[in-house]
Amino acid sequence: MKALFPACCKRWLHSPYVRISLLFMLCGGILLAVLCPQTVKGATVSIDGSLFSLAAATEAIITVPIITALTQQELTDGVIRSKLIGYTRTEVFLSQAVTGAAYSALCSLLLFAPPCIRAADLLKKAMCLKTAAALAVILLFLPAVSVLCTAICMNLEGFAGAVLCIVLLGGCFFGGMTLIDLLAYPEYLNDTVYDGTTFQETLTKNPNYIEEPMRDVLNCVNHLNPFSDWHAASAYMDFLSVYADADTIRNEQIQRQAEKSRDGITAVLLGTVCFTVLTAGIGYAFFKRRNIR
Amino acid sequence: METILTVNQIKKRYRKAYALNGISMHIPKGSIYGFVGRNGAGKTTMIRIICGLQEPTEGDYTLYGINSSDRGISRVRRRMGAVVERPAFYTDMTARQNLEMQYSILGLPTKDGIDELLRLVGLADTGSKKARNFSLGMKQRLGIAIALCGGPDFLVLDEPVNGLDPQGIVEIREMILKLNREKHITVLISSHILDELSKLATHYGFIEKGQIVEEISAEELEKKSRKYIRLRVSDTEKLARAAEHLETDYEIISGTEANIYTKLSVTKLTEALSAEGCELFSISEHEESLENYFINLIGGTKAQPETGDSK
Repeated sequence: MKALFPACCKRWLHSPYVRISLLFMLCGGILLAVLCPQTVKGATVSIDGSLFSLAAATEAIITVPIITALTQQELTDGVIRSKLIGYTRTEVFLSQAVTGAAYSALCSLLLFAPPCIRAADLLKKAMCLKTAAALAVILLFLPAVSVLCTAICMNLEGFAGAVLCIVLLGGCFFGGMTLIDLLAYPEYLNDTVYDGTTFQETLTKNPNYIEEPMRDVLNCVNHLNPFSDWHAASAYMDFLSVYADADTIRNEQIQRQAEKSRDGITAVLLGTVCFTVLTAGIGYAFFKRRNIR
Repeated sequence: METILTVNQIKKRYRKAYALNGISMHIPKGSIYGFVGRNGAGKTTMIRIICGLQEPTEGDYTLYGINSSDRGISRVRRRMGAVVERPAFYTDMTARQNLEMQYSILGLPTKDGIDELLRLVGLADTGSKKARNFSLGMKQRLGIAIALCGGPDFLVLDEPVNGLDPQGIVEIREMILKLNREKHITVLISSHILDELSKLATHYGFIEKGQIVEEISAEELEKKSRKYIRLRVSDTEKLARAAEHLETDYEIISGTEANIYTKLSVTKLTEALSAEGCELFSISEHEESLENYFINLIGGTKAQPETGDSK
């Protein structure tokens, strides 16, 4: 493992796809640094979460799976055999997964560090455990996606692996968005009836509202979806853009509102970590039993 | 005799079918072990198991004295190099970069042996040419060079001359012989080209339907192989009468050709043929080929003796 990980890194850095993608991320990061932080009265006060989401969707669904699938082709070209003669499957799988995760973490840093650095004042003022958790979700999002792609590419050869990566990630993205919409339905609908003289407001049960225990199950699934987690983290950034500015961040009332909105952000981080561990575990279990050709 | 690899009753099942059905084999140190078998006999499956690419369903093997169930088996495999089915390398790298990468994978501190390896396999002049643009023979040689990184003392080659032209086959053969003689590398080699294998191997293992039918050294095989004399005559009926008169074992191949399996004096033979009024056109000594021996061993259709090696 000690020798295998540097060798994997060397292989990744040799790949022109990887080098181009890192440059692409850096350019994206600089662009986000210009566009994302909102300035009011000359001071940087917020980060535009929707731009963050857009960047993540583009980078994650397109760049990371494609680059991972292109680079993790050792099962297809047979190089994995050279590694397995001398190393255990655990060492080989771990080195591949860790290298892929390191690459995507570097992508995350290049993409999201510039806007965060530009909005450093805001982040410093809003920094607490939950803000740190939201930032961690942002940084862990691409590694989580990359580990999924590695797990697939270590078990499926060639084009099939790349296609499955894109299909699964697309499914996670659109599935996650659908689930968020479903869970966002309010429990009651506010109906206003005019009886000729007065307006009467009545609360009626929303038929689209998802009841317990299905709600808990869907929430759990939602937390395990890195795209949903990303959405929650970027919504947190949106929250910062609405409420947190240089003068009001310390306001007690706003802090209370902020606390309410931040509820669950640590669960979101836990969800991303669980997703990463789960996909790595499943991928490893298959790889361990796989007959390598 | 010291063995590098001992395989003990290994079975490998894919779904319901057994690819290996209780195979046992012994590879002596310093030998070139020819692994002979038909397509689907289980050669590649056995090689994959030895290389740790697949796990046996039953049975075990011992490599350098370490049992396959021991934890140290993957470490001990570093002492071997392998080319399984097709050579494995990064297609977007040059020959040198591929070797450097293999050195990194093995965690070797220096890159000193790379030039020597490139010279050994004849790829020293490939420069910046990417491996994807190599010819089949060059790819095969690069695969062998990668397998030789780290100085292994056991080399496993699965069909290394498949698809090579005659020149390429000779080059690979000479390289294997050189490695075996000069570096004392033990080689396990499977090949369909039995004629080629017979020029290399010091030991043979014949596999059929997932089982070793026979393990034999080249010396023993030579003793067991039947030698015969091929005669081309004017009339084989007259030759048959002469052969019966000489009480020799013979076989009529066609109207003008026959084989004599008993060692006898050429003078006596020509005299007997002359006495029967049979004209002798040509005479040549042959030895039963490895191919024929194998086919006879597994009980297949006997090949025509024309395939025999001419001496």
